[in-house]
Amino acid sequence: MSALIELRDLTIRSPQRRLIEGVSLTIHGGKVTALVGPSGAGKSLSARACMGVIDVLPGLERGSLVYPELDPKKDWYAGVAGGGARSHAGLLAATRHLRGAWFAYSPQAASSALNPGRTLGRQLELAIARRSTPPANLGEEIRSLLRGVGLGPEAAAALPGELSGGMCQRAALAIAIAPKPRLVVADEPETGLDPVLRRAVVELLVQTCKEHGAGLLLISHHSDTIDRIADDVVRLPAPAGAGGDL
Amino acid sequence: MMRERRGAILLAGVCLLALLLLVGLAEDHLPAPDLSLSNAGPGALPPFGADEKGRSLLAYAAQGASVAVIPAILAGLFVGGFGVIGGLLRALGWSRLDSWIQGISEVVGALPRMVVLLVVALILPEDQRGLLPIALTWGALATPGAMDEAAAVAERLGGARFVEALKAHGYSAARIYLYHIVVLNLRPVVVRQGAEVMMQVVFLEIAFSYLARVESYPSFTHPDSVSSWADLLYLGYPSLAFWEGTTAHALGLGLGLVAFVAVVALSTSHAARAR
Amino acid sequence: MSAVVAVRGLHKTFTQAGPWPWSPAREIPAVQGVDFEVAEGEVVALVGQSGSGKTTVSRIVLGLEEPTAGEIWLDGKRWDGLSEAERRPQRVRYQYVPQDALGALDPQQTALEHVVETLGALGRLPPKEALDRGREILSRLGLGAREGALPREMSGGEQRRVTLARVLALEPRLVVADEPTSGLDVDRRESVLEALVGNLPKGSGCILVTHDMAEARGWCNRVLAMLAGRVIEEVDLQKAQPAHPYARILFDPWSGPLPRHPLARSGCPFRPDCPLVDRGGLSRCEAEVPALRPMLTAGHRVACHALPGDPP
Repeated sequence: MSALIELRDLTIRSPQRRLIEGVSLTIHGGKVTALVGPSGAGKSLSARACMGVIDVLPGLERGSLVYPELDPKKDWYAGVAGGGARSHAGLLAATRHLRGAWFAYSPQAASSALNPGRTLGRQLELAIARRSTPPANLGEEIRSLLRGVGLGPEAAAALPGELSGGMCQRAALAIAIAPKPRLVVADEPETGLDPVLRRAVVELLVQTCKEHGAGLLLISHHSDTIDRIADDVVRLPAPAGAGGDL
Repeated sequence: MMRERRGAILLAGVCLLALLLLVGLAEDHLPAPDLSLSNAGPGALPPFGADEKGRSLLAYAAQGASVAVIPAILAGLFVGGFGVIGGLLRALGWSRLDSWIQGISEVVGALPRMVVLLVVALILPEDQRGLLPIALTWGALATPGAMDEAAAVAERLGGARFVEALKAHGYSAARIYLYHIVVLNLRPVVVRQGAEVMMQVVFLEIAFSYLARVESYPSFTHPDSVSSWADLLYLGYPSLAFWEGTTAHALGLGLGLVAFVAVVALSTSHAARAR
Repeated sequence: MSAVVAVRGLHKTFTQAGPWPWSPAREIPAVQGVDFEVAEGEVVALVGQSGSGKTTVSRIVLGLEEPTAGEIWLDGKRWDGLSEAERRPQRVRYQYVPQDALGALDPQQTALEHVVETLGALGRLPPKEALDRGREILSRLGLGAREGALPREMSGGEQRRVTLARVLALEPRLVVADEPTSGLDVDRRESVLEALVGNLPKGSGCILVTHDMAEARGWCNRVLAMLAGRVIEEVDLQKAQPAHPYARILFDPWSGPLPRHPLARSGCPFRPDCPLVDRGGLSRCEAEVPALRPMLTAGHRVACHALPGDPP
């Protein structure tokens, strides 16, 4: 089975220094890859770069990104390095159709990633609409997604502002997995959750991915989680030269 | 900006303002016109000399100041005061009162300002005419904006959570509300709002005077039938005339007054700025 | 030896208004009978999932909420029921570290100004001394280089440590810290806990509210695990392991099956997911809320019908 993502030698820089250097990873469908490392190592940056999102300039210095399942020959980073804002914007635009459908991203501080003006049910509906085959029963599908993250059916009618931080985080996760993506990128989904909920959320992610043969790129600090569920661990070193606050 | 330099600018701005105020208040105490001093220079009649009628030129500055400055300052304080109230209400978390005031605020804020002002200016009876009612009306119309901005600052502070954390720390209510919320956080917003309104009131005076002059209308802002300060200044400065025509004088001296108040307002506001 | 904090029979019920003006108000029991003490020099952890009542207990101890029933004694003096005016002079000694550090800091003050104000206004130090002490405390907490930074210029860990500096500057008798490491990366957590526990004055007590048992193990003398408003286990993790089935899950979420059912409203709340229910006798677990009973190790108490232990 071909890999979902093959990232080689990713190096991104900011005006002051190299933020990440020489990062390589391969993600297969149905497998869990954990991305670990100390704060400031560039985990979130690497994860977003896998989806074609590089929002630092000068940005990409070198690297190659291939999605073998989609097109084994195409290197999406070709021509981006050294191209400035325009080429990075071009990369963003070229990968846009993949995000939210082929990829799903659950960011850190997920509650701020929810649309505050729409109810959860509606946001789930929109996410589900990006599936290649629509579900038999939309309402039931929404309820089951919510149940999976430990939210009751009444949450479908709630606006993000009415939910607590932990609930928002779980809602964002549900929205991420709703379109049945090929790859879920979950950036520290366990933050701020108590141990029981942490396990529930991680188990849901892993279960959903394995059920559909999707890949999971998980950024986590918790060693117990990583030991239990990761098939593959990519370790990023501490940032070089950064003063690093304690 | 260094704390000391900011303090100096603030002090300078406040002093200029005080000077303007004093000049305005001194209007009645200036010497009466004395024909024998006609066209005298600054040596004979400090500080600016006299016009051809022997009237001290300082009287004209005093006239302008007395007409515009006090209403401007009062309007500025009015708006600043309401800004503080808006911010405090949000911090106190009295949601009922807060939403009532927000409702009224929204209605007032939706009114077209210039129309309301012209209506007020036109319906004021002759003997009540003055810049002060117009300035206060303008101030009242500006309060919703000031209150909203101050409330937003209070909200960003953390609202009730901020107050609770400081209370738990052991600070008194006075320290929390007066020092932290009003002086440290609301001050920049409120001073800027007040300064803006002050400048706007001076502009209003220029605009109304010009309008009255051009439309040959009795002044909107002066109760006596002697025409507006635009006329007076015209009468008083023929010897200084670089251009002909009332408009030019009015504009020239009006701009001078505006520039002066603007410098005062901007410097005060800049010095009181948030970090 | 008098306890720094003594809590007896604490109950707290929140009333939530119904959706319509005529609907009856809903009663939400947050704390349903909690007793504990914090001795001098002790660091006690209150652990539990969200909604267990741990935050409410910590807030009541400091007087930020009033209990529905029960007593709070600080240094042998009754605390609940006092008016705010009576409490304020005492607050210097009983300090709170809130969960939201940024929200407790004044955006217009630098780190140093925060601490100096505390020392001047509450510590009653003259300005020069307050400045020196302030500098000293900030550098002790690793913020020496960040003296002149405003809250928005600081990282989450730094903001947290400024709130700690402000609290520790007063050398309080009791510090109640509400999830002080929430939102921080793992490597930063250690330094914040070290800053807090390492700088407590000798003989002071500390209540640490957290949902991370591992953190509790590293830094606390005793752990109180709460579930549905009650303490279900009290243990010194250096001497014994948690015995209550729920506490064990908090400690290691991957041991045993994942709880999936909502808590029961009568009898033992953990009943629907508890693997020991048969041993305790289903009827007993259904009917009776278990009381804390001492276990073999001294100081270890568990509220479970199924576990062996002496009757209370």
